[in-house]
Parts: sequence; structure tokens; C-alpha cells
Amino acid sequence: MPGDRGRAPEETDAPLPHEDALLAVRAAEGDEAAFEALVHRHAPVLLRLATRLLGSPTEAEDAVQEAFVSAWRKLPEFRGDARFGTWMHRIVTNRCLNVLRSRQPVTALDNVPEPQAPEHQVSPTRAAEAHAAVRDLSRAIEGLSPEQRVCWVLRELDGEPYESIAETVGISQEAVRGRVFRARRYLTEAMAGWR
Amino acid sequence: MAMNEDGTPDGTAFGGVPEEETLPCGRELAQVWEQAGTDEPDPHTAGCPHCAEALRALRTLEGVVARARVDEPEERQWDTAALAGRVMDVVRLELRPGRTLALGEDDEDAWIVEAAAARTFRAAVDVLPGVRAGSCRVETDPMSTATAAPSARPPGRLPRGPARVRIEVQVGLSWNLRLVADDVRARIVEAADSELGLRIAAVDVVVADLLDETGRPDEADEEDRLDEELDEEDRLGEGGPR
Amino acid sequence: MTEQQTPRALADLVAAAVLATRGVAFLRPGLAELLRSSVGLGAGRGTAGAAGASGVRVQRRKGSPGVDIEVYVVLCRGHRALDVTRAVRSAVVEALAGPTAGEPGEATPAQVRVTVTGVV
Repeated sequence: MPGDRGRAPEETDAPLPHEDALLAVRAAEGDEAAFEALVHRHAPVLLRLATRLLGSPTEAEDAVQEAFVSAWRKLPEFRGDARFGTWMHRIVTNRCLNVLRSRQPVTALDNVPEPQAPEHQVSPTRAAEAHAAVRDLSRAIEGLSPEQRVCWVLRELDGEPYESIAETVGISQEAVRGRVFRARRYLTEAMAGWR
Repeated sequence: MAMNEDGTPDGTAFGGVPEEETLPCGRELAQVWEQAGTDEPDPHTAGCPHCAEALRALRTLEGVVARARVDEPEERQWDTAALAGRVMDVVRLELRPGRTLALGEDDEDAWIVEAAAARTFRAAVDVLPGVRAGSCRVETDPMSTATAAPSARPPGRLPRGPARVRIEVQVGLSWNLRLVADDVRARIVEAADSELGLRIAAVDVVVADLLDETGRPDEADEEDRLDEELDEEDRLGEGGPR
Repeated sequence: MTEQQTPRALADLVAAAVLATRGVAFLRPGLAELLRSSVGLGAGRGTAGAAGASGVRVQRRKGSPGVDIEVYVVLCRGHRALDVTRAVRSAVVEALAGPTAGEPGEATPAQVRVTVTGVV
């Protein structure tokens, strides 16, 4: 497959969307090899998306796998109105949202967390410090609601416009803005110790 | 789940974070942050300590987010082979409801699913220079079976009789469409005989896209020509299986 | 035909004969199980008591000694599908006539349906 993996990280669609469209038509008609090619083309981007959304590579793999299987079943109805990559992005996002919703809450959500003090205050190297900050961020993200988390990740890590997030998640743009704001508010508090 | 926000009005405070928060200077925090993302200069924010503090908090978060992205594995480092293998294991187990075509003589109980026949035809067409096959549907030619006595056949299987193929192709701009259609038809008739043993009554070739030299669709002309159907159907002789 | 031969054993016999046929890549995996129930992720494998190896289905006819056999195969590209289905049928009939299929010299009357589900 003429897959080009060296593209900018935020491009969900493969570099040759037209090739995708052709493969999707074939796969919709039961061509398993065409679907396999689509899986190879889109799995890396989708795995990264799911890992960002779920925070766990293992769970991300399961979510992406199930998303592809569900896509295979739904492909006969896929009319090519959207690009295959966009369509998969949506399926994976909603799959992850459901996974997040089914999780037991691990953090007490009643309070904004106390600012966490950096763990490496005694002459840390910059790299170690940055690493610890990232770890704190991951921990803080667990405190977000599923909806806040999904909106925030799509906005801040995937760099998506509010409009497309709204479309993906199926809520209004205003609702997306509200969730991103509350997630930011929560996370800035959680990361206050790193200021 | 209790924390599910959906269905509740968005004004509800969540986790102690109010929907709106006004800074001591009178600005809405949400607005200050939104504006920071737009690079629009704001004289107030530039001189306001409250806004500056709010922005510093945001920048700190953004700094850690940027770092988190750097820490992520490169795209190519994801192990997709194992994932693709597991996906395809499930996919190959799935039964796609589809049509099944009869192979061989009337007294034979031999069949081929439409998807397998279509895949053979696409592969046969793809070898033509400048041509890529897309949709390919195969069914028993209705005109060939209209007069035939209905024969008993398993559910989901098409009646016996020569097949009719409808195939959509992408064709390079520089190619003569009529010649391409002839080539496509010839390839399919040949593959049907030599690779499947399926009799063909007719092949409809539809040019669905014209591609420029880069292999991308010719956007300017696509609209007009999308529906152009080269329905040069040939009634082929009744060639029996070898 | 042979009361001692279970459908499962017959199916295994048929499967071996089919897989030995030139041009057959593999039997459609899991199909016999799939026909019984819709399948989700991870389900459908190793169903106990299924009367057939993957891709082979054997059913005794009611009130007569014969069996109905359905074979679902994926072929190797480069082999003519119709020819392979004929070879598969011959192989199955031959296997059922062999000494392991039942009483010596007694063939199992069988209706064999061969379906090509894919080409690789």
C-alpha cells in the first residue's frame, strides 16, 4: 500500500483520501484485503487517539480493535459522505467515551484537587522534572468526567476545532467549549504546583 | 453513571468548577483563555495582574501538554501488525450477508460468493495501466433467466445462469475511455473463464472517476463526469464452462 | 453408512480431504459455528458439539441413510474456481467411500455442496 506514515501528527486522514475511498468501496462489498489495507493505514493514528483518550495503551488497542470490527459490520452503510479516516475517528472516539463512562470513578470528584507539589524539588534535572509533570498531568486527567476528557483531549492534544469535536461527540459547539473550559480549569488547578 | 453530564443542563457546576468564573478584574476566565488562543492583542489583559495570573496558569498547563506530546511514541512505533491480525481474524469469521452465484452445470452444487468473484474481477482490471477498479457487483443476468424454469436453490443463492457484471473504474485522464471500457470488459470475460469458470452475459463498465497524472481525481471535471456511464454493454455469446 | 461414524468424525474426514485438494487455501474458519449463532468478539471459536470442523457442515438426512455435506473453501489465486470445486467434490466422495468412512466397501451416499467464499 502506498501508505505514507511520515505526515503531520494531527492529520487523521491518510494522505491519499482517494485511495481510502476506493478501498472503502471495495471493503464495503466484502473485500477483506481492502479492509486490511485500511486497517494498516489508519491504525497508528487511531491508536494514538485512543491512548490519549483512555490513558492506557492496552485499553486503547482493545478499543481500536473493536472499532475496526464494528466498522467492518457497518461498512455496507458507509456511503462515503465522510472520509474513511474521519468516520473511523468518530467510531473510535465514541467507543472510548463509552469505555470511560463504564469505568468506576477512581478520583473523588467533589473537589478541585489540591495543587500537587512537584515530587522532585531537590535539584531535579530538567528532564526528570518535565517527566514528573507529565505524570502528574496524566493523573489529573483521570479526574475529568468522560465528556470533559474527550472534549479536552480532542481540543488540546489533537488540536481539533470545536466544530468537528461537536460533530464527533454529537453535542453543540457551546457544550464542547464549556467542557473544554471546565477541563482546563480543573487541570490548571491540578498543575498549579508546577507554575 | 453518576458523573455522566449528558442530559443535564450545562450550567450545572461540576466538581466544584463553576460554569462561569469572573476574575477580580471583571473579565470572564473562559474568555481570557479563549482569547489567549487567538493571538488577538488585548490592552486590558496586557496590564492586568489577574489576567496575567490566569494566563500563567494556562501556559503552565500548555507547557506540560506539549511535553506530554513529545513523550508520546512516534506514529510508526505503534505496533499495528498484531492489532491488524486480530481485527482480520474476527473479520474473516464474520458472515457478510451477500449473494452467491452458481458455478458450473445445472447438476453441480458448486457456488461462489459474489465478493470473491468481484475481487477476482477487480484484480484482473487493476493490471490495466491507468485503471483502478472500485465497486464491482455480480449477479445472474435477469434477461438470461427470465424464461428459464425456476430451479430449486438454497436460500440466498442466485438462480443459475450467466452472470452480469457491473464494475466502476477510475481511469487516468489521458486514456481513451471507449478503449479502456473495451479492455476492462475483455479482462473480466477472460478472468471469469480462466480463473472462475463463470459464464458472463454482460459487463457494464462505469467510469466513476477520472484521475490526473498524480493518481488523484480530477476535481474540476469530476462533478460533470461522475455520472457519465459508459454503458457499452455487450451481449456475449453463451460460452459454456470449459 | 455407518451409525458408528458421528457427524463430527465425518466432518473431520471431509475437512482433511478438502484441505488436501490442490487450489484450496483453507476452509472458511469457524463457519459451521457461525451458522448456529451470531458472533461477537472472541465468541464462536471451539464450540463444543458442533457437527463439523471449521468450514465443513455435515447433516444426516431424515429417514434415509445419506448425509448432506456443505463445504466452504477459500481458494488460492491461480486455480480455476470451478475446477477446484469439482476436485473438492471428487475428494470428498472418495474420502467417504474409503475404508475409514464406514463398513468396508460401503460408500456413504452424500450430497456435496461446495461454496467458494474467498480467493487469496
